[in-house]
Amino acid sequence: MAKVTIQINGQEVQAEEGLNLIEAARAAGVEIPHFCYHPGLGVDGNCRQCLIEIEGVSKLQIACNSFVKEGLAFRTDSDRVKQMQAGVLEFLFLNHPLDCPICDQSGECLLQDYYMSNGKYESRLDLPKHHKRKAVPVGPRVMLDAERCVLCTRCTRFCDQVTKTGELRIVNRGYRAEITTFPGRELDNDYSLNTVDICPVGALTSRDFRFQKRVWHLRTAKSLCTGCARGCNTYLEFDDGKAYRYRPRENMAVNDFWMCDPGRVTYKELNDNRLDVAIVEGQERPFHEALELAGSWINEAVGSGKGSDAVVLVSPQCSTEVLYAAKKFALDVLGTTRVGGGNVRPAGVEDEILRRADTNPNSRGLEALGLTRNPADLLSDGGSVLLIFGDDPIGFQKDLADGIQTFQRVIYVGSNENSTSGAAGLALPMAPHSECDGTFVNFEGRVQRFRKAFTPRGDALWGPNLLARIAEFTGDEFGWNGPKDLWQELTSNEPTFANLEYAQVGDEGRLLDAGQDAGRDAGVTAPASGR
Amino acid sequence: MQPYQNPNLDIAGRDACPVESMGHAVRFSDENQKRFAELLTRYPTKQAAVLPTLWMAQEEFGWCSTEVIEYVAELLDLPPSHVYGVVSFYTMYYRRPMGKYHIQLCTNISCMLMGGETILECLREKLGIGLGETTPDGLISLDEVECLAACDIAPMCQMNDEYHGPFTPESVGQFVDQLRARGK
Repeated sequence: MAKVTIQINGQEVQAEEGLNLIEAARAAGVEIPHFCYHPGLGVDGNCRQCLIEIEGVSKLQIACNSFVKEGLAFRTDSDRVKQMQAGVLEFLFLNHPLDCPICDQSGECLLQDYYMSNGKYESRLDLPKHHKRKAVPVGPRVMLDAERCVLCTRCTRFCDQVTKTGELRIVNRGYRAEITTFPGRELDNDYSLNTVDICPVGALTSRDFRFQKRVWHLRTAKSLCTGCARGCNTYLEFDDGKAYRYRPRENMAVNDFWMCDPGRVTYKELNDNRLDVAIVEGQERPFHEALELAGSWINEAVGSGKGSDAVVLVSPQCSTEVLYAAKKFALDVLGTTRVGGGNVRPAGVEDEILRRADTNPNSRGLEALGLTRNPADLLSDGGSVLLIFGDDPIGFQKDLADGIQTFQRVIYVGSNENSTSGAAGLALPMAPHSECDGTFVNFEGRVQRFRKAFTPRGDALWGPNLLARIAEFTGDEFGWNGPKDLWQELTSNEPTFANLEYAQVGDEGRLLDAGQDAGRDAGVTAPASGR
Repeated sequence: MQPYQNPNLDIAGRDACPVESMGHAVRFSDENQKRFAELLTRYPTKQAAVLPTLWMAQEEFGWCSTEVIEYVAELLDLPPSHVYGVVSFYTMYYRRPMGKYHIQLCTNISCMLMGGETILECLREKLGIGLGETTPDGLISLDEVECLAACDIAPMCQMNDEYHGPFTPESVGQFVDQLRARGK
């Protein structure tokens, strides 16, 4: 759309014609307070918090439902605007409990923010506050505190417009109005936790995250959901080497502003049941001893001419970098072409919103590296050494156990303890995607980056580094100086990834066949918080 | 000052807006099905017909139970929560079983000045029920309402679709006796 000139607080700026004024102001670095407007849900105009003064219009107007046109001038900083915004806030706060010390939203609450930026009035209420229900489990994953609600209807509009399930509504009226579900029904769709994200106050909170952590203690890394082939962009929030939650990160080309509930709980794999140390025949052993053992097994096989007999079983759960390193390790160190892998997991639920039946984050990456093979076929003839990367083939497909048992030596490299790590003679800890940089390629072939949140737990190492450490014992030249170094080699060696720099991938990802990339949807943009 | 009592203890387990169940599914009579089909032609969308459809349903089934709400929602392709929100908004959709005769006594200013509150006490005593309640035989329900725009006959009440008044403490007793006789 055409750019036109408008004036915000006397400052001339260029803005897209037809854009609403909240977004136009945000693009110019001016924050207009608002509750009900959300870029993913459109204009509703019920909260009245975004009142601004438009030149030539006598009454104050709501910014969310006013749009950019040539010559438009408006103010967000006049006394009239400030007084009106404080007045609206006073109404919203009228019956709001002073819960902040025990409220999970505290620290990421728009009421708190706007009170500090646009309120700061003395309370004039000398009547008792009206109380509503607290800690109501409106669904298996969402908790409602009705008296904290400002009735912005973001959650009801989400359930109407995005999931089209319509579980939530405002009932009653006036000061008694509150959010609820139909009697006997629950907020139980696969996307219910998005209502928690978009709730501007502490009315809807996640039952999983409730009371786990004060949000100001959390740090944030740009990450990706590993729950399915969609590869929803996320913020991984963590503290002290522990992941606490995922929040969706806006990417209009992949997941808009949302992510699914089953995907959200995948952060638990990053904490629970982790393989932190090397395990040899069921016993915890010093890491260097285990590496030496792995090296000797590989030397033994290669030395006796059985290197080509070895198998490297990779998984579409691994990052592109790990897959590339595993492929190179197979070809250069072991000297085998029996390298590859594929999905071992049961098909997931596919819907028309985000979820995909393929529950692996990197099936396309596996394919792009030419590694897609049927695991059962790969394992069928047995061999000297079997190197398994990630996932849990035995846990998901019992039949694969027989194939795995026919190998003389089995080394498992992964992040979690599971049936496969238990069955392997040697299990080595690998850093999951929260503990290193890397990429996944989603179902449509979009290369997306995830960033390291914290240092690997225990003895875990970034997959390629782990292989480099093993290669030290075999005397091979092998290894990289970090993910960027590996990526450069990968892009020059793998034609499908040719010329794809990290800088091009950016935060929004890049299609492998860039010609198909229609680019990001034009129009609204939201800040990182998804407000 | 009164001692502090946590008001939330009372509220926590309660429904936001209680609706009772009839215990059985409902369906419009053939005649109302026809009326409903005709009704839809008058509105641009199905959703727009929610108020008259609910009113028809309340006429036929007596009150808006969870089953009635679900039935209306199904007829209009709406989520039941939406119709529930509508029912909860308007006081004239009943969310509990009502008596055959529904007395809505006005206690707004004209009726109050003419003794409406005394009439209310008489009704309470005569019927043995409070506001918002129904006699155990299911015959008469009692509610208090605001002005019904019939101040010329104050103090008055609306009984189902009829206006009655002015009342004296004696005449309101006779009125109840008449209703009881009518209901037999």
